[in-house]
Amino acid sequence: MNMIIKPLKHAILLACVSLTTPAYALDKPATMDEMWQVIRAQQKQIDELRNQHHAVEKSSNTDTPSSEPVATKSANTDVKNLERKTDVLSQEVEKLRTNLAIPEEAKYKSAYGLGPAASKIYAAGKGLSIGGYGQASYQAKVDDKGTESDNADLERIVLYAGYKFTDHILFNSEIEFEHGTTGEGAEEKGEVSVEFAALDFFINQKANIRAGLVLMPMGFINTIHEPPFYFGNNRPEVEQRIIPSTWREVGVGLFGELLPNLTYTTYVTNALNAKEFGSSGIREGRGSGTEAKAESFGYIARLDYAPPQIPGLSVGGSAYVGNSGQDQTFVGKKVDAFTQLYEGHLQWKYRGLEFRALGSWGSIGNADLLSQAKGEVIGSENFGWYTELGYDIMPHLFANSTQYLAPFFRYERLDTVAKAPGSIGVLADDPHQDWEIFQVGLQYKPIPNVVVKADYRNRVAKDENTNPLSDDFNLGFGFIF
Amino acid sequence: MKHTQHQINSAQLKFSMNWGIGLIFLTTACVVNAGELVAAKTSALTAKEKLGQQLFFDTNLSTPVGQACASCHNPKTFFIDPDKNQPTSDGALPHLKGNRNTPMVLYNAFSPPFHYDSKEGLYIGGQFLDGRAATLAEQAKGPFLNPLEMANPDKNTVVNKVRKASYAKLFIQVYGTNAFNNANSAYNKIADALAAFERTPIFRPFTSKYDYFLAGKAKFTDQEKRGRQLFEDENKGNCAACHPSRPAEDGTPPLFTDFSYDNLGVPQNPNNPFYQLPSRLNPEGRKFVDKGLGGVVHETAENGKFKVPTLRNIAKTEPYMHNGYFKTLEGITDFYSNRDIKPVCKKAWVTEADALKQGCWPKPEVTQNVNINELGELNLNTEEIKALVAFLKTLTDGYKTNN
Ligand code: HEC
Ligand code: HEC
Repeated sequence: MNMIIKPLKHAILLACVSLTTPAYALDKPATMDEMWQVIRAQQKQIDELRNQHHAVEKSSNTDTPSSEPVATKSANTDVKNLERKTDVLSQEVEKLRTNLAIPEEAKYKSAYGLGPAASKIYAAGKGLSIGGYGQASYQAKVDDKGTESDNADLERIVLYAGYKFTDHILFNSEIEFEHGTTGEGAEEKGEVSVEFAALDFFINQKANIRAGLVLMPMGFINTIHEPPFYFGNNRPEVEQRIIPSTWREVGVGLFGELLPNLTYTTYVTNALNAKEFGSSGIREGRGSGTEAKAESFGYIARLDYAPPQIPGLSVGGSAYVGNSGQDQTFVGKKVDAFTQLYEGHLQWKYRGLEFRALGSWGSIGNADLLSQAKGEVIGSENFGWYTELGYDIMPHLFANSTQYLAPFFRYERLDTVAKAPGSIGVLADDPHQDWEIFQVGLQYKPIPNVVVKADYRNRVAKDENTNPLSDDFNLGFGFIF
Repeated sequence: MKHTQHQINSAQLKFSMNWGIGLIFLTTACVVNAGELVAAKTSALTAKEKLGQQLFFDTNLSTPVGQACASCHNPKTFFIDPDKNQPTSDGALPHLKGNRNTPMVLYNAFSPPFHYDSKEGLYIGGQFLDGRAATLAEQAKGPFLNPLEMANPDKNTVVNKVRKASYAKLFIQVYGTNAFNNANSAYNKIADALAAFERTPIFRPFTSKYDYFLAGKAKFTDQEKRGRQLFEDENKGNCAACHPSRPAEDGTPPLFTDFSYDNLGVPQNPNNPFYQLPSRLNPEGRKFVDKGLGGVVHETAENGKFKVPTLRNIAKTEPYMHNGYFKTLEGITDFYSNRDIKPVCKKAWVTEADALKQGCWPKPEVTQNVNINELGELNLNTEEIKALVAFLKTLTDGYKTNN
């Protein structure tokens, strides 16, 4: 038996090697169907040749076991040639197939404020485009404070699916799988959610229409949250608790480039739901397109400018206003709960340097009644800001390296109850919501699509002495495709 | 226990009644914001409600006379039995005692009619600790004829007593001239009037410190705040899972009960006088086991389950649990925290005080269906237990604010 398998192994090995060597000119069949036919025919030929070869080998084995017979030799070359051809063809088929989905050389470039992987469809010629990202992390709560336990988490796997119907109409979407599994039965573990799903109508560079479940264009993270493009394993808390990323609502609006380097986005959406506001902010009040209350509307607009004089700099701001009362009663009264959120941001990427600063301020009307109805204080004002600085030191370590290694530092300050609606009881301030975070970390990208992150967060709440927040060490990786 | 001491005479009852009205004024005086904390004025009571009030306080309606609803549900003591020295109540015949701890009747009108919630897979609502009366009116028919309570031989006896009462005119005014003609329907009307009274704002004052805290009118101490956190924290007390502490969606202040049923694994109470009753009334003697809901719906999966009680006025309504096993909130909290951590007491029939001393908890009265998922092993430290108790003490009605 062994004697038969050995030459086969050789053949396969050779075929494998040929995979990596360039193929000589072959007439490429045009369609996949044609190609498969050719491949099948060739495979048949190979099989026949191989059978012949084995037959010869068997008979020769008996008398001249040591030396290879001439007939076998020529058969061997035939097999090899044919196999090489088949391989080349298979590769072509594979290419044709994947070309449908993934452009040969994906250009990861942010378009219309979306993340680079999310923007693939905009660069695609026509048809379907698939992209995505994922991240996983291990979090160790530092022992001395807090009571939460360590955890390892496949935080999220995200698929972007876009479809370009014509040059003027396209569909883009993001579907997220959080925390690995949704759990069995009544277990509540992960979630599957549509992060955005919208139709774009390109009319004019200055004014295009987007409609559907849209990402609210606020801050850095809400629209661009792919792991290689922000520091640390955790998104900045300011962009989770003050700007409630990932914030998406059902809406319709305009976007485009007003002047060179001056872009804007504006939507009308369903409003937030004040019933779900809490001490920790407006986050739970998001509609997320899940049978969201739509008795009231929200309005959001954003402007960004990248001055051509200073390469790598961009500044911008955004504003959201809307009533969150949604026609519900709060301790017996109907209220507007007029909600505002403003944000300004600046980013500067220069050579290896990456600097970001963001500040946000919000206010909630009727916070006294909302607090009484909820049984916990809801801030009539909230605010947060952070700044971060990273620097790619790789070029200094290895001059020719295309890899990336950046230590970074981030400071955050936020308070979801910056102003309490009263001073007594449930209306009084909750110092546990007043946070300061110091974070240091290291970001490593072997290739631009893949990132490994390690960071430490020292989190301090105002009532640190009686009810401390836990510090944490985080290790994780992320990727986009 | 000297029975004579808590035989309520009519003078005492008058006092109770005044107190009941006093309570009404108290509520009015402290009301923060109409609509938020519910106000009540006696003058606002309808004729039917006033009739119910008369019936509730009438000591003449038992056989022998001397016991009213208010004797066991005394407004002076938050509508529980003023005799705190025994876990259950004496009947009209004082040597006869029920097997259950008298619950407070405040806030009972919020209990939905007894039903099976197929979505939750739980029995919900009803009156009595085992839900055997669907509604307040159903419930009110019970005590008059219960031999261990007001001990009347039949409905006719009760109806005749009402017919001769000073408020018989009021009865006719409410239910019509023929109201007494049929004993059966007259009896139902008595229950109807009682239920109407029990639905008045007198029975839902919502005037605890916690209510004022929620209205933004009272400050909590750090310990009380911490206690509330622990009470609500799923990883700590997790009490709010069954005793909800937040206002309801419709604005009803927190009731501290979801009206579901559970078996906490409460031990048998060695001091329950029911065990000493003659075999005619308790044939099983010390072997008696209170099956709770299971005894009503006849499903073994419900054995040992009792209705989650409100925790309002909890600091003033000891003893606690269906059989009055616990006398202290510290004991209860320790039980919730350590039931499955401390060893099972070697001996049976250990009281709360002895169990705390010995560092053990006795085995449950009903070992089936004990809830081991939500309680029993909370790992609360002494500080946390103290904070929880401090929070529970903010639930007492009649709190006076400074402003
Ligand atoms: C002898 C004392 C006694 C008297 C008298 C008495 N009760 Fe009770 N009451 C109890 C006890 C004990 C329970 C709990 C019994 C049970 O669950 O089986 C109870 C339960 C109740 C409940 C249900 C409470 C709950 O949490 O489900 C209501 C309502 C009530 N009583 C009203 C009345 C009314 C009205 C009267 C007068 C007609 C009355 N009681 C007379 C002792 C008494
Ligand atoms: C799984 C539901 C559940 C949880 C969780 C729960 N309880 Fe209870 N609680 C009950 C039930 C049911 C009873 C009545 C049991 C009985 O009478 O046997 C009760 C009774 C009580 C009583 C006595 C009330 C009275 O009037 O007799 C107190 C006090 C109490 N609970 C406090 C707490 C505290 C404090 C916590 C949190 C540490 C808590 N409960 C968590 C279901 C629960």
